[in-house]
Amino acid sequence: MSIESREMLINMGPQHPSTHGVLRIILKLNGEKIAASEPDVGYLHRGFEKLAENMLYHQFIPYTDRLDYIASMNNNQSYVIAVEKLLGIEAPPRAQAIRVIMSELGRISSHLVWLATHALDIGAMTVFLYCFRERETIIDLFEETSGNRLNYNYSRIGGVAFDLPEGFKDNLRKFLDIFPEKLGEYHRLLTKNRIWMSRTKGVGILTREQAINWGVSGPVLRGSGVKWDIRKAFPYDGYENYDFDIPTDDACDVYGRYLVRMEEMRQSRRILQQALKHLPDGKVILEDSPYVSPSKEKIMTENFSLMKHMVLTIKGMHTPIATLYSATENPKGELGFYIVADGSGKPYKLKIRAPSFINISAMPTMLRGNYLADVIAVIGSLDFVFGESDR
Amino acid sequence: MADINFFIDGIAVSAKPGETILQVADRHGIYIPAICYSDRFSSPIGSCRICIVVIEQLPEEDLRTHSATHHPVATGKCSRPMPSCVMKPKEGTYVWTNTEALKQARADIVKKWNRYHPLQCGVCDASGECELQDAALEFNITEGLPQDFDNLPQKTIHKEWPIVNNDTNLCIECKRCVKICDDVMGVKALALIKKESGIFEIDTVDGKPLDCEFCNQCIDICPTGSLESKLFMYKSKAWEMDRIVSSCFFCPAGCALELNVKDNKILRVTNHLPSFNDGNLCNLGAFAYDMNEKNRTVSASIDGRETDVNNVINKTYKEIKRIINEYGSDSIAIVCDSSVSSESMVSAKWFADLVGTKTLIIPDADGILKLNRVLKKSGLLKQSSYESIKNSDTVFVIGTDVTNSVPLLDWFIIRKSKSKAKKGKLIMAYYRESKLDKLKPISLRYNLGSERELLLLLILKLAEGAENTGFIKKIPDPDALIKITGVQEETIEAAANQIKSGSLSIMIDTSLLERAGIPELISDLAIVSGNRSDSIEFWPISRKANIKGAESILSGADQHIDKALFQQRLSEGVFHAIIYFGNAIERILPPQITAKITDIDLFVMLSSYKTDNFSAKKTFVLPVATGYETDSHYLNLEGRLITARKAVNAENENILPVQSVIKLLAEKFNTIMAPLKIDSGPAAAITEKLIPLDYEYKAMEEMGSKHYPYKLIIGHDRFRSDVSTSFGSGPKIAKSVGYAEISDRLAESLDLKSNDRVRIISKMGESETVLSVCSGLPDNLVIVPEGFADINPLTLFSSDDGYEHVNIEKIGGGK
Amino acid sequence: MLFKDLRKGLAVTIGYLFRRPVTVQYPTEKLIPPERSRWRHYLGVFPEGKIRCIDCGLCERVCPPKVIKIIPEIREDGTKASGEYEIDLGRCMYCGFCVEVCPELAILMSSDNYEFSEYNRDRLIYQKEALLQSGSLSGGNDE
Repeated sequence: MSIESREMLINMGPQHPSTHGVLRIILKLNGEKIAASEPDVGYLHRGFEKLAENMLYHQFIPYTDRLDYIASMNNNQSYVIAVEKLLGIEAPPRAQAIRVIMSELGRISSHLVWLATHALDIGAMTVFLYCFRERETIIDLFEETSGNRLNYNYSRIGGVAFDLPEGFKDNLRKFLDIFPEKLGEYHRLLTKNRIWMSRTKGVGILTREQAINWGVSGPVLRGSGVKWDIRKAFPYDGYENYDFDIPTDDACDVYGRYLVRMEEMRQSRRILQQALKHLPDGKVILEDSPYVSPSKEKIMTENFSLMKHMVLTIKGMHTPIATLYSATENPKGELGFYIVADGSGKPYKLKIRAPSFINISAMPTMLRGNYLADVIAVIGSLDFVFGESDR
Repeated sequence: MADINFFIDGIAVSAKPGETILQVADRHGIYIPAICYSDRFSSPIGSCRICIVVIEQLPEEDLRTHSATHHPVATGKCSRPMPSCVMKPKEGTYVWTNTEALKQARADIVKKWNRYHPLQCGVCDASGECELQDAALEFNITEGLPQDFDNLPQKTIHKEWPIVNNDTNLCIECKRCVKICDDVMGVKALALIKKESGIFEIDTVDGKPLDCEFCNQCIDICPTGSLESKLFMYKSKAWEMDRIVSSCFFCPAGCALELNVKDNKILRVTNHLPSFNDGNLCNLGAFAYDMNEKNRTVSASIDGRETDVNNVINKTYKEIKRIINEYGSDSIAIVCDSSVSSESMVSAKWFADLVGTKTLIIPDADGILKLNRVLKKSGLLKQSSYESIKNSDTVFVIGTDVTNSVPLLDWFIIRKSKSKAKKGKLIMAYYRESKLDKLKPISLRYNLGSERELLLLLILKLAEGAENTGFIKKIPDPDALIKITGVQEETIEAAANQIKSGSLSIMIDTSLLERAGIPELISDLAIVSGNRSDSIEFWPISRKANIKGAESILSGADQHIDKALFQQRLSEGVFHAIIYFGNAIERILPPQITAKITDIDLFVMLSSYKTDNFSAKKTFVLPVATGYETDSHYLNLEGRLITARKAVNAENENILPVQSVIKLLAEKFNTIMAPLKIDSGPAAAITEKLIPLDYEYKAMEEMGSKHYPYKLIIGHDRFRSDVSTSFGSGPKIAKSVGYAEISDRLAESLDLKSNDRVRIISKMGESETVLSVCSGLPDNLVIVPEGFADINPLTLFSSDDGYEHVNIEKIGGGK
Repeated sequence: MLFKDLRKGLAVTIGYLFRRPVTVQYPTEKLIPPERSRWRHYLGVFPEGKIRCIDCGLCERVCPPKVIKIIPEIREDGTKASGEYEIDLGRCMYCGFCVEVCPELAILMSSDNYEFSEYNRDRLIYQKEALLQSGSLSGGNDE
C-alpha cells in the first residue's frame, strides 16, 4: 500500500533567523525536495528612488549608505562616481586612492559578514565571532575617518569629505599585517572540513549559461566560471593602476562561491597594500569647482565662497541635461545608478540597479532539485542584503 | 526693412528690424547672461556689462565660403567686448558669447561688486533669490576683492524709509530700481546719487525719506537684498514658502500675482508670471495682504451677541418666511456691494429668485448699466481688451485720473508714451492736476459739474461741417458753453482734431455715467469721431473690483432697480427685510437711505470684516470667507474671468464661503430652483450702422448757499479700495489718514495749513479729518477720499449729483 | 580517517581558549570614540555666551529627513537670531550635513555623547534650551 503524497506549499517567512533580512520564500516541497520556489521581496522597501527625486544630489549620499548597509563605503563611492560622470569631473588622485582604500576595506568587511553568517547558518558558530572580531578593526578604522560605525556618509561629489586622520596609515598597516593569519584560520576551520564540504559541494548549481542569462554579478557570477569584474573591465577611481587577480571557480556550486570570496579577500589585501604604499599627496576634494562647496575657512571669510555655498545648498548645482548609467563592483555584485538629469539640482529620476535583487531572482533555478536544508546554504552563498534589494 | 541674418555661436539666426543681439539670442533659445536687463523696461539700461559679446567681422570673400556651423571659435578679427543688450546686429557677422576672455571679463566685473558687501548671506532675506549669489555660482567665483570684515567701509542703510529698506552696502548699482520707477511707473523717485565721499548710492531724488506710490516694483526687481520689504523682513526664507498663483481683487484691473504662504499665513506677494500687468502691482495688491487677519468677523451674531452659524441661519429663515407671509415676497430687498466676488453676486441673485423678490440692487453698478443700455441702442457695445489700449491712437480720459482708480491703465498709458512703435496721444479731461500731466497730454481742465457742456463742445467741434447734428437739441451758444466749462477754445479744437485722427479708447468714471445725459453724450461723441465700431472702446472706470461682474448679473435680471427707486420704495415702507452682501453698507448707500434701513424689521449682513458699526432693529451677521480663504472669481474691465485662489484656511469653521452660507439658508426653503439666466456679454460682430441718440440740453442749477459755499467730492485714492483695505499694514503705512484736500489759495483765505484738524459740514451732518493743502485744485473744491476707515465722506451727501455743498472749519492745531 | 580536517579546526579554537578575550565589557568598560564621531547635537555659543546661530536656514534645508525646524526672531539690535530651534533626534540620520553646511559653526555634533536613550519618543525632540546643554555628557532633555 502506498501513501499518496502531494506537493506542499510552505512559507519560509519574512521573520526567519537565516534569511539574512526579511526574505519570504514560498517553497513547493515534494517531501524534502524542492520542486519550485519563489522569493517574495519588498519587505524593506523604503522608497529611495522616489525620495531621490526630491533631494539635491549630495543630499542623497546618506541614503546610499543605507542601501547595502554592510558595505556602505562602496555604495557611497558608486553613487558619487555616477554623479561625477554626469558632471564630467574627476576627483583628485588622493581622493581616488582613499576611495579605493575604503572600498577594499569595505569589501573585506562585507565578505567577513558573509562568511560569519553563512557559516553560522550552516552550523559553524565559531567562525561568526572570529570574523566579527576582524570586522571590528575595520570598523574602528572607518570610525576614525568618517565619524560613524556603519553609515559613513564619507564620499562627496568631487572627492571625499575629510582627509585621513593621524595614525590611520599605521592602524591600517597593522591590520594588513595580521589579516593573512586570520584568513588562514578561517580556511583551517572550514575549507577542508568534511561537514562543510558535504553541505556545500554540489548544492545550488548555477551553470555558466544560466548565470549569464539571469544577469547575476559579483562573486555569484565568478563562482560560475565567468571571469568578469568591473574593476578590470571598466576601471574607475584608478583601479587600472593596481595589480590584482580575479578569482573564478568552475564548480558553479555553493562551495565554489565560497572559495571565490575567500580569495577575493586576499586580493583585496593586495590592493590595499599597493594603495597604502603609493598614496599620493594633495587635496581630497575639488576646489574652485561649480559643483562643490568651498572649504569651511573660505565660507567663513570670503563673500563669494559663502554665496556659492548658499546657492549650492539651496538650489543645487546646474547639471547637464543627460541620462547616464554608471556601475561599480560592490562586494555583492554590480551596483549601478541610472540618473536622468534635467538640469536642476535634483535628479528627475534615479534608478538603482541593486545586485542583490538580481541575484535573488536566480535563486529558484539554483534551488530546483535540492533539499530544504540546502535553501539556507544557497541563501548564504548568494549573500544578499535587503536594504539594497528592496531599496 | 528686411530681416538681418547673422550668426550667434555658429548658429544662423535672423533679427527683425530694431532688435538687439540679446533679444535675438533670447528668441532663439541661446543663453547670454544679463543682470540689469529686464523685459519689463521699454529700453535696456546697459549698466552691468555682463551681457558682453564679441563680434567677429569676416572679410567679404570668406563669408561666402563659410557655412553656418563651420568654425567653433573666433578666428577672424574680433571687436572688443560689446554689451549685447544695446548692440544691433550687422548682416553676416559672427557673434561669440562665451569665449575664455569673455568669461574672465564677466567674472572680473562680478568680483568688484562685493566691495562693501558684508558677510551676511545667512541673514539676508534675498538668499535663495539673489542674482549675485547665482552669478557667483554661474561664473564660478570663489574669491572676490580682499575684504577686512572688521573694518569694512560702510555705505548708508536707509532705515528711516517707510516700507522699503534700502541697504546700499548690498547694492550692485545695476539701476534696475531707478529704471522701473521712472520708465514703467512714471514716478522717478529713486536715482543713483553721488555722495560727498565720492561713492555712488541709490537714494531718493530729493534726499528726503522715500515718499512714493509704494508699489513694490523696486523691491521686486532688485536683484540682491539691497531693497527689501520691511513688512517681510526676517519672516521667512525664500525657499520655504508655497507660491499660490492668484489675482488681486482691489480694483477691476485683475492683475495676476503670487501669494507666498507659509504655515497658513500670507507672508508676502511676488509676481514673476507672464500676464498683462507685466509683473507690476500697486500698493494694495503688493502690501494689503495682511488685512486678511485684521478686524475680521469671526463668528455669527444676533444683535451683537455671538452665536452659532446654524442658529442664525435658522432664525433668518424663520424671519424671512414670516415677512413673506405677512407682507409678500416684494418686501425683501437684496443689496450687494459691487466689490464682492461673482460668487456673492450670483448667490444674491439666486436668493432673490428663490424668495421671489423684484428688488436686487448693486449700487455703483448703475453707471455701467446705463452706459450699456445706451451702447446697445447706438450699436457700439462690444468686448474690450487691454491690447487695444496699447494700439489706440487716442486715449481720452474724462472725469477720473486713472492713476488712483485703476493703476493698471496708468501703467499702460505711461508705456504707450515710451514705446517707439506707437505713440498715441492722451487727452486728459479732469478738474484737477494729476500724475499723467507729466506726459504733456491735451489737458481739458473743466469746472466741476460742467461735464455735459464739455462733451457738447467736443461734439460740436467734431461735427463741424457734418450734415446731421439734429440729434442734439436746444444747445446754447458755444461761447456760453465755453464760459461754463472754463476751457479754452484752442484746447477744444486740439482735442477734437486728435479724436478724429484714429482709433479711440474712452475711459470715463462710472460716477459720471450715473448722471443724466452723460452716457448718451459719450456715445454720440464716439460716433461723430468718424470711427467704425471696432476702433472705439469704452472703459468704465471704477474703484470697485467687480463692476463688470455686477453688469453681467444684472443685465439679464429683471430685478434690478436703481438707488432713486430704492430710496423711494424704502420711504414708502415697502421693504421689511434687507439682505446685504458686503462689509460696510454706509459706504455704498447715502445717509438718506441708510437712515431708513435702521427702522427695518430685519437686516442680515454677510460680511468678512468688522467695519463701521451699522445696526437695524434686528441685525443678523453671518461671517463669510475673504478672497484669500476661498476660490473666488471676478470679472475685470475686459470682462475676462479672473480667479483669486484660496491661499490660507479660514480662522475657524464658522467662516464659510458665501455660496455655502446661502446654500445652507436656501436648503431650508425646500424648493427646486431653475438655473440662473446670466447675460453672456456683447457679441463680437462689428455694427455697420451706428445710431446717434437724441439729447435735449438742460442747464443744471447750482444749489449752493452762503452756508455751504464749497463743493465736496469723493475722490479715489490708490492706497485704499474697499474700507477693509484700511486694515492692511502696507496701505496704512503708505498713507494713514484720509486727508481732506483743498487748494493753497483756499487754505490761505481760510487761514488753514496742512495737518490742521478740520470739520466738514453739510446739511446732512459733519465729519472730522486732517487737512492737506495741494496745488492744482480748483479753489472752491474739497476732496475727501473714500476707503479710509477714519472718515466716511458719503455720510455728508444728500443727492446723487456727484458733489455736495459743504463748509469747512478748523478744529484744533496741526501736529 | 583520523579526522585530520576536524583536528586542524579544533586546534584553532582550543588555541583561543588560552588567549585574552577581545570583548570590551560595556558598561563597566567604555571605549572612547574618535574625535570625528557624530553623536548628539549641540548649539555653539560665542565666548560671551551669545548663541551663534543666525538662522540662515541651511541646516534646515540640507537635512535629508527634515528634522530641524527653526523659527527666527529679531534681537534688540536688529540682527537675526534663531528664536526656536528644534531637532527631532529620534528621526535624525546622524549624517552630519547640518554641521558641514553651517557657515557659523553654530550646530555641532559631540563625539562622546551617545548615551541619551529615552523611554518616550517625544522626549527625543530637543528644543533650543536642551540643545544648549547637550554638549556636556550630563545635559539632556528636561521637559
